[in-house]
Amino acid sequence: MDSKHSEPLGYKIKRREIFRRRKVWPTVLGSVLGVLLLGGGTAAALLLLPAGQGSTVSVSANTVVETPVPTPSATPAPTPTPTPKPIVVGAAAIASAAGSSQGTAVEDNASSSPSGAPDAPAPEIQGPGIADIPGQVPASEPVGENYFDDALFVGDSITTGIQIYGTMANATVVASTGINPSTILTKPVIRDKEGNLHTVLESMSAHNPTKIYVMLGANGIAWLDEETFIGSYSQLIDGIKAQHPAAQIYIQSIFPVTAEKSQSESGIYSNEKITRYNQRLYQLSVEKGAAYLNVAQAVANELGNMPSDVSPDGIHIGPDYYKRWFEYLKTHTVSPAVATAK
Amino acid sequence: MKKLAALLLLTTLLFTGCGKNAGGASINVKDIAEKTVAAGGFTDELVALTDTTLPASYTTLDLDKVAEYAVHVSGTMGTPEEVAVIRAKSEADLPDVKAAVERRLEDLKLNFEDYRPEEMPKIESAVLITRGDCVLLAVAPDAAAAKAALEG
Repeated sequence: MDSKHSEPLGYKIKRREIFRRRKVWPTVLGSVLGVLLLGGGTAAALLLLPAGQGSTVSVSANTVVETPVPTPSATPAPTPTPTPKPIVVGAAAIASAAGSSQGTAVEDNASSSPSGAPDAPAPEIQGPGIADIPGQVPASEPVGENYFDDALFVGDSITTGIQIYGTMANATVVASTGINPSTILTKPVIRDKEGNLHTVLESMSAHNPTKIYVMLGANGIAWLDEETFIGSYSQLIDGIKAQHPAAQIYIQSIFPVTAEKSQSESGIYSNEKITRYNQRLYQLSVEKGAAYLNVAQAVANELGNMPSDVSPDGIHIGPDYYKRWFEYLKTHTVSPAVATAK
Repeated sequence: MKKLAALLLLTTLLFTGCGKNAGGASINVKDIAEKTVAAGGFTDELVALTDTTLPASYTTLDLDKVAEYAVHVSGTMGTPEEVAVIRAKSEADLPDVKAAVERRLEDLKLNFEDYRPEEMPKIESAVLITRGDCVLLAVAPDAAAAKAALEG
């Protein structure tokens, strides 16, 4: 990634202001000469401009013309970039640049947003804040990224992040923000290129994956009681199996939330509750012949919580933790023989 | 003297590079998007999309009809906060680009209306404008400030 891309936006704006101040007088002198050469009509014309044709717009735009900012990703390239690199800007990044007391992970995002870049070292997987569940997919020899060429990821907003961050660009993602194990069965939320909406299962029918990774729950545990949650999840797995009988289905555990989130809102997102639902998901995986991936282990701290400095809202994760998640997936796979047998 | 010089400079600028401003041709897409990100009071980290990652969010946007763009979406996926500045390749392409952005706004409503209704005011006060050959969108906590930034 171009280092300019990972630079916090606040720095860029400040730098441009300084540049503008330093360069303005030579430009003024040049402009005066230019106006004199062009004739006096322009000054008169300025006075006739209607209010609202904003001088701010004009100055701003022209400043950019004089000092063009490189826009390497602005113009669509003929061939897509194979490994997209996220550019993180915005409130948190600016706060970090200003010396905010935000945690180091936020600073990492701002200063090394290439966290998703292939040349960045993979973060070590923390543990064991989340206990092993006997029968979960054990650690295995790491697989390459091409393992995910024929993988399909199903889920909610957390899964959509795989696309936003380009974490595994070769994988297929069928996911929608706000979906839960109940609405995923009925609500048309996946829009195709023609603009039509489909349910997740309808959309999945267009693909032919050999591995299907399911992650749902962050949105469901708050509103769905345990039986409804598992019942809906079970129907979804049945639907997936009917649609893709030869595919290896991985049921992924629900990520823990931060300690603050766990204790908020009367505990509707509590990590104790998530652990309970995850145990039910493990049982479901056994019933359905699916593999259970205890991916919560990839993101939890030693206390079993999502670290508070990596999740602005207590639930969702940033690019560093997507990388962490996928490092776990690469090192926890079942063999093709097992997959075929199921 | 300083005021006169500044006035002359402004005059020059207006009659050179910004002559097509009303048409949007002089809008610096990346710059205006970044200024809007800085101004909109965003609570989320925003992530810039690329040719590879854009189609997942703007599913009906045909990149063949896009000259350039700067699109920043929620990094947590937990808010609808977003800024998009997209320049159409031609005047004929503009309606389709605008329709794709409108469709994206519809999708945000669809995603958040039940999921996080407290985020809906940001969507309901979203700023969607056209400047020349550009379509500009901001779904921001401070819609007025975002609108001012988009309008320059």
